[in-house]
Amino acid sequence: MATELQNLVAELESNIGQVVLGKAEVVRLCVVALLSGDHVLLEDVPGVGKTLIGKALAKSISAAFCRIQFTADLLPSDITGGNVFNPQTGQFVYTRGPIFGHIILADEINRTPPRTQSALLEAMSDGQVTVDGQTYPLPEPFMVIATQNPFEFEGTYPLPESQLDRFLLRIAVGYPDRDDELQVLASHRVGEPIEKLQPVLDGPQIVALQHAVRQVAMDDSINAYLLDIVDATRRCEELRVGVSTRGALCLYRASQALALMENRDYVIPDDVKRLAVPVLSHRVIAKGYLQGSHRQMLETVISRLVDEVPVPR
Amino acid sequence: MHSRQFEHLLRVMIAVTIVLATMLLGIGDRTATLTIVSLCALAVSAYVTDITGRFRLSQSAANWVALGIVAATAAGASQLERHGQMVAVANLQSYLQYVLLFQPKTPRTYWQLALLSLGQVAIASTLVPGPMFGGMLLLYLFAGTASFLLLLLDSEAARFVARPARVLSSWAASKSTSQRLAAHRAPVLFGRSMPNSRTLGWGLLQQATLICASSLLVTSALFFLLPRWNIQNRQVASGEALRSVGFAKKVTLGELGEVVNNADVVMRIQFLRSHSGRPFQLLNEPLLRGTVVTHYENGAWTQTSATSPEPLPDEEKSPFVRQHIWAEPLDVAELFCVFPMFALQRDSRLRVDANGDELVRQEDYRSQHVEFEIATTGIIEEKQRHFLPCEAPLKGRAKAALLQMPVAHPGQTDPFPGLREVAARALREANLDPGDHLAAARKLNEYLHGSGHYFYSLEPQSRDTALDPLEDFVTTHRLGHCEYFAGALVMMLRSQGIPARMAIGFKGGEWNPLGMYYQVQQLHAHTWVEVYLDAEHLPREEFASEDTPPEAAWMVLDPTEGVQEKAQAAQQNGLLARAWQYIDYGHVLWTNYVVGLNAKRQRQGIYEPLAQGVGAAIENLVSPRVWQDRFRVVANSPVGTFWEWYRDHWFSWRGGLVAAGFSLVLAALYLAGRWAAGALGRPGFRRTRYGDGRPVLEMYRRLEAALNQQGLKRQPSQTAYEFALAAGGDLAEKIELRRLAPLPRRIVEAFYRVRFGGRTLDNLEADAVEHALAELEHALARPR
Amino acid sequence: MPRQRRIRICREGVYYILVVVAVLAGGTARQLNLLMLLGSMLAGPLLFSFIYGRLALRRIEVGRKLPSQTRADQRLVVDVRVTNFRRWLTIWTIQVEDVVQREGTFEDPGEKLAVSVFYSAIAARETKQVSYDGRLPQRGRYRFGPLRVSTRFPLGLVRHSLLLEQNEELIVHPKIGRLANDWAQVVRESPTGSQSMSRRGLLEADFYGLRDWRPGDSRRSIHWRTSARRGSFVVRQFEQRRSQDLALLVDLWQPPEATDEQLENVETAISFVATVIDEACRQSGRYLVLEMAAHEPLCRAGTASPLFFREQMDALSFIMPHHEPQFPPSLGHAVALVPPSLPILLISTRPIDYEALREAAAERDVQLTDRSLRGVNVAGDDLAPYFQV
Repeated sequence: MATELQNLVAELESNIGQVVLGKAEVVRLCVVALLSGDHVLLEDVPGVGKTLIGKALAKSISAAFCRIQFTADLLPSDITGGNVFNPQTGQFVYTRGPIFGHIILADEINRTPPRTQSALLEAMSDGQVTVDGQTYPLPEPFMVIATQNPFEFEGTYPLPESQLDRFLLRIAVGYPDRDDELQVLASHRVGEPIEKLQPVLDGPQIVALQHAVRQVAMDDSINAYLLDIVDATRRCEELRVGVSTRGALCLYRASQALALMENRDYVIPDDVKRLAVPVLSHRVIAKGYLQGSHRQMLETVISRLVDEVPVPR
Repeated sequence: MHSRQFEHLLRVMIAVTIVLATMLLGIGDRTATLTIVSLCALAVSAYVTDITGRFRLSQSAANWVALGIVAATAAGASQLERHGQMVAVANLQSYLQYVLLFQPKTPRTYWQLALLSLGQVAIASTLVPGPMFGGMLLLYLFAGTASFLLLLLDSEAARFVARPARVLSSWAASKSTSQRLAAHRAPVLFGRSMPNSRTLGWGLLQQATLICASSLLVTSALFFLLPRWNIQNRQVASGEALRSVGFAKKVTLGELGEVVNNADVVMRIQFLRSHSGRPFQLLNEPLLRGTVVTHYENGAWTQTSATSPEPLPDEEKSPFVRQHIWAEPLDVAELFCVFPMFALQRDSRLRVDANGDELVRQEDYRSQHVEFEIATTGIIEEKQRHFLPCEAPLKGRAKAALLQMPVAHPGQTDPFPGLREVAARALREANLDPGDHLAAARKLNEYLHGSGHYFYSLEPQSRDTALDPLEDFVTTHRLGHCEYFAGALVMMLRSQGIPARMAIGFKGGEWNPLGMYYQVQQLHAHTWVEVYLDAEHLPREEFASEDTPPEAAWMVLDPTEGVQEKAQAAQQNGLLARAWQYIDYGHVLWTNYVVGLNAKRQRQGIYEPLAQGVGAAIENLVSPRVWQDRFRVVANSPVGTFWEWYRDHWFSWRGGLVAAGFSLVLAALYLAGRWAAGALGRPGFRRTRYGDGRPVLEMYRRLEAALNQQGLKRQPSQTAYEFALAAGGDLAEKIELRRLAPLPRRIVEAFYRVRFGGRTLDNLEADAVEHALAELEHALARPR
Repeated sequence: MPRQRRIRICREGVYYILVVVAVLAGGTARQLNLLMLLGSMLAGPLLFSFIYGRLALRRIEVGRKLPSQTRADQRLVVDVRVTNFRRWLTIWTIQVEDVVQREGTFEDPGEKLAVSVFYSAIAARETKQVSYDGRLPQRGRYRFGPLRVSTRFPLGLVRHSLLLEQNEELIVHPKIGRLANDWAQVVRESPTGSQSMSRRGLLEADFYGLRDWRPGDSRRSIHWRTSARRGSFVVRQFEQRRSQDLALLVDLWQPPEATDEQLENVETAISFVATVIDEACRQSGRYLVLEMAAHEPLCRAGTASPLFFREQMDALSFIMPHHEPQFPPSLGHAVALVPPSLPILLISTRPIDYEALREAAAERDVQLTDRSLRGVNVAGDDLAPYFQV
């Protein structure tokens, strides 16, 4: 395999790391999603750098970047674009929406009504946009980094459980360490460091990396381990709905991507174990009547389940 | 399949079962009346009761009718003797079946029908001894099994076709719910569909066959192993008629014709080597003598005097050959065997006449199968001898009787002028002195046999009634059967002053290569000649092998032209003949080992071989010598040796029985083992989930072992890498082990490369891993 | 899946064994070889019967498929499938017995009901499925299992059976009845006479779509982006959702020694609640509050969705009435928790004590007169005009 591609990955990580301080794990997971050709949902309180991470990732790649701020009155056509009447030609012309970019930052996705959410999510899962019966393919690579704010209930429309699993990963960003926070303060003294970020990768290179991910080998015993974990969620007493087959597949792909990032062309059990929580926790539904099940509780359940499954040797 | 079709098939099979049972009874009674009546009843009831439903006997009416029938039979049967009573009971069972047939059918009815027919078979088993019973019983087993299969399918299916709704009382809201509430809230649940199978018929047939086949295994094992304690068989009341031998002690010429083509079996005889007990075939055709006649008068041979029978001589002489004889019930007292004979053990059923010429059975056993074993010295080197030693030289009247010729009555001429002339001329032409009895007798024999003057024919011949039949045969119509040939030779010998007599018995018989025995039928009846030789005429060389040569002997001469031999040779071949041999052998087995199985035979034929066989098999399995032999045989000449062995041993029913028994035991052991394994839960048999294809690599195992020494154990949910990191952290906390801290992680990384990456380590890496492992093991194993 | 084997000799088998023993004993006692032969021959199938069942039941798998949810009195179809894993042996006359039991209380353990399905033949490597069906009359939790697989093949002499601990549960939801078309109006016409106005802001309603501006439309509702694109004013339309939001307060009461009618009333009340929730959950986005005073009080609030529906139905399946003679104050307190804009429907199985309600509400500083409250007494005829089970 091409070592240069891997070096690119390392470079990408360090590039983002210059700006996003103390969030190495979150950055790594975001790159995992990028390499898997999938999307990521960042969830945390405002102001911890969700948007910053998305921007940094986008800036590190020389590809079309779009940021969509989701609001209550955002319409589906505001995302996908729509047919506009051109008085000169007397015809309708399709105008592309902001979704036709490589990296899409969908900010505060839960602020928009379900209809608009659906338009984005459909585009994410199909890789294409359909307007008035006409289908327009989205460019490759295509990645959505969505953020949502969990603590604001008034005027929000939480994503339906069934649509959450359009995202490969749901990541809680969390507050930075004290040291890192100090650094953040220091780095902002002069100006926004993000503006100085230079791209290190381009679109075709990403696509090549995505292909390389699929070549990563997975031992049968690890497959069995992965399925054991998935099985455990289905049998778990506390969960109403376990992980679907798509969830298992996502874990598989993400593990491959992580292996690639760690300079391996084979998956080890540690990859699966490490990714189980971010990949699986938003794909299960807990019992009990609290809707929009608590993220933390679910993450605890999943990590406990993972701890109960024997690891292959 | 629709359940109605089931029922039709079921009815047919039940009908077959019923008819088979009546047929079995019919064999015993030699009548088909019951079968025919049953068939009629079945047909009528099928139409009237089952198909059209026009007439159905109600339960109470059926009970009354049945009661009446039982009463009538009981009244009638009380006067009958035992056999008659049995038949009456069997008939009663049929009548009850008829009553059942006209009732509406339920599974219970079918059960009753089957039970009644089973009762009939049980009765038939006490009436019918023949092998036919066995064959019919097989058919019966098959029909019965099939009936039961169908009955089960039918009744089980019927149970599920329509199930009434069930009412549950307490399924309502709470404990105080009243009945009204419960009633309209009763749950209704029932299984709905009745799936059908396309191949039901064939499948059932296969099942029935499978069950029958496996049942037969059990049957044979159980039957042969059930304890027997009587020595003699209890005789079943036999309906068989006595077989005629076709001749008596008085032989009248010209009356033999009617038996010559009769294939009724008279006896079976097997010759066994005295030491090994192995059966063999004689090189010449055996002559089985029944009786001898000496006196000739008016075309009829009779015995001179009747002597009182005595027990058999039991003084053992050697060399001897054992002859094993199964005699059918005969209308004469004589038994047929190779003479001279002596008893191997006392047998109260057998007697010998005073001269030792005749083996007879006691009056009581005349109408029975008799099986016995006696010895004979008349066979040497698998060949029957032509000279029989005579215990005591004959003197006086006894010897004179052997020279008896019909005397010319006053006013009559000598009855044998021509015969005397022919005999004298034959000797004269050969320049033989009649005083040399041996040569003269042989010459005269040759004159009749093989000279081309006389011809064999079984056709009744026209004879000149003015002449004595023998005179007529010798001089005029030179065509006749064995009695003419033998009679003529005796007369010719006597006319030349040579004492002789006529022997009556059987010659040859069908050799059965399966059972290694001769089957003797009536058509093998034969007469031949025995010439008495004094000491002076005895050919010494014939008795050279014996320590004490006898003082007198009988020489056996068979003057009959050999026509039969060719006919027999033709008969030996052909598929049909082969089939008959099989059937006959089956008959023998049936008689010996089914009907006639007794304590002695069971011990000899089954228990002992079984014990030996098992012993030998174990010996065979464990003995290194036998295995060496076996390897050598295989190594030397694989095909040839095996083929030789196979040809000699391919069929041995004892061996087969032993093998069957042994495999049953093995199967039982296997099942017991499986059961035991199942009962113990088989903890060792469970497959481990991981590493079943690929073993955990040695290096990782060593790493874990080394770290275990330090009390570091991997949790099942810990990955190897996590464990290594944790262990490294632990090691780092101890100052003296700090240098080891990075080692576990390095080893696990290498392990991962091999285990999950499918790589092989190059030399450098392998050395590094080995070094690290060695260092770890050394440092951690050291007692501190 | 734990398995437990059992062999039982059927009545026919007992008879058969008696006959075999009689024939064998008779034959042996009198040393009649042919009778012994007959006895041995009869013993063969008997032994085969003992062995066959073990073989037949060894490599089969039985499974039951319950519907994911069902309602009381709804037709319930349960599929039972049997797979024969043998390579060549067809197995015959397989009967599978399932046990259904309603989970009862300590004093009233539900009676068990055994249901059997029958397979005449299952060829090698074949799976067959047979269903049983019926109606479960009561809401609540039903336990299914264990499954008993048995066969009497080949001759019906011996029944081999295998007990499979394949236990499953099925929650049977309350019955759902029919609501009259105009029932929604019933909710809004409050007997207290005060129809409170919504004070909620514009954006709190559901966004519905766009339409051209008409005179009189508020300028706040102009959608500027689209207007700019189109070159003419376009306004946003909002869905009125206020009327469909609802708070349900239920007083599920039943005297300790209840009459049939009172029992019925409780069930009817539960069915009615279930039906209302069902109706509300037909469209997502409606806001529902459910407060039930029962043996174990129930308090739920949420936006209508299939999941919400399922949760409420599960809860209603197990709810038991309370026996308190006083009007439960918790219902009064609940009024305080309900957003003022929501109409309240109070359902009771006895005449409603408005005074007690008012007092309880007053404890939480809420005046009932401010609220749109409608009371329904199931025991009376209040429900009959607009609800049918």
